[in-house]
Amino acid sequence: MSDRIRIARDDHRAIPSEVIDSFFDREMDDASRDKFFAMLRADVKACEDVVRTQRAVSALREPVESPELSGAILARLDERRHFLPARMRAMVTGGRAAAAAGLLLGLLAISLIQRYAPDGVSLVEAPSPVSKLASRSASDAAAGVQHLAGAMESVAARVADQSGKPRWGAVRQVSPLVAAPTTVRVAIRERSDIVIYGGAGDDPRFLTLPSASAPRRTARGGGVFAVNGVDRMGEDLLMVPVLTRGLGGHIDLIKTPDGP
Amino acid sequence: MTRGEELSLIERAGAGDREGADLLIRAHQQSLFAYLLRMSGRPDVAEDMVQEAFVRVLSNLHRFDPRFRFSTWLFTIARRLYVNYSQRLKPAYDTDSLDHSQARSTAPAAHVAFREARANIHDALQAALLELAPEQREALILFHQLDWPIWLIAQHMAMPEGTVKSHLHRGRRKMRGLLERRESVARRVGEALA
Repeated sequence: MSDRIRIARDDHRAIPSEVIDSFFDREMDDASRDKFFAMLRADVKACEDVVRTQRAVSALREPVESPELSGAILARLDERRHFLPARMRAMVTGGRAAAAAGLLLGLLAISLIQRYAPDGVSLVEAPSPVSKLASRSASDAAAGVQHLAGAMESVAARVADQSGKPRWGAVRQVSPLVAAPTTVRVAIRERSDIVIYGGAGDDPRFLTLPSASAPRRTARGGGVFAVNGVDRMGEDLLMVPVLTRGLGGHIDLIKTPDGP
Repeated sequence: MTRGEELSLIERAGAGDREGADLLIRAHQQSLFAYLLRMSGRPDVAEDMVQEAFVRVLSNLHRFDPRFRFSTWLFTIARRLYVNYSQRLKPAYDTDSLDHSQARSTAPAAHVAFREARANIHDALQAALLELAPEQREALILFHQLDWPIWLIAQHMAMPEGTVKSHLHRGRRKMRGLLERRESVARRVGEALA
């Protein structure tokens, strides 16, 4: 900057505007400022410009009287947020600290219990693995089978107790009926299987029995008849073997076109 | 007020201490009012914007970053308020209102002429300021009235320092030209009335 001032002074030209800007931007040191003032004395136009600008800058720097606004500002702020007195603030701060400390201690206690006595605290029910679900289903199924086996045993016992009673094979399966039939119907599911519905009233039952390889016949009432064919369960039934004594109750022979 | 004292006040005000908030307001309200008055030319508008700026700042003290200056944040919010205001209407210059805002002299009648001359200068100055572009006006106010350094003005106005200096230089030249024209008119009127 001092070089610019020296050049301007030496050349006897008007003071460059950059030099004047530098003065008002407060970028001149003391020596440069002295040279600048000396140049101004030789440049009337520049001097007038500088004086006029300095007058405006000085007016701008004069303090502006400000109204007292803190009361109005705090009132506006109170509408959004209430200020607490120092005493209450201390209580609120203390309360918050106590609550935070209580929460931390609680969490610490739970973590210690979990570590040293895992079974002591259980915040949530432990999820059941699938293997447990499978074993539970198996145990449920086993209980069902046991129930069925018990029912089978009671039927087998009844059948076995009847002395002299013709008997085909062994009882293989007993299944409860959905509805108690009043008559005996025989549903043949497959050649080697005979299902006999029996019973009346509240004690429906049916038996599946292995079919005989060769039909047998007896002339006595209630005797065993040979199975003449295989048919589906329900209405189209052929000759059927009937165990009369083992089942008890009233047994009707279902007649078929080829019936006996 | 030292920076440490200011940070302490900010912490107190943020915790709900009314006294701390009051001290913080008093430390900055004069400079903020002067800035907004020079920018808008209207004391009533400046008062309202000062209040709103402080309310917004004090409501969000939890967001204040202590690495930065509190006044910078406060003036940034005030600037946004002024920009919104100026976009709604053009700032009007009211000589009577502005005169009441100037520091009054309690001197006796002998100095009335001086007061009137001074008031005229201030009137002329404010009128000239309002004829400048907003960036030039703001640069002049922040640099010459509030003594902000160039780098801080650049940060506040979000522009390079060279651009700030350019606004300063052009603003001063234009203001000088406006004042010169006003003086010329006043002289001719005076000659005509004489």
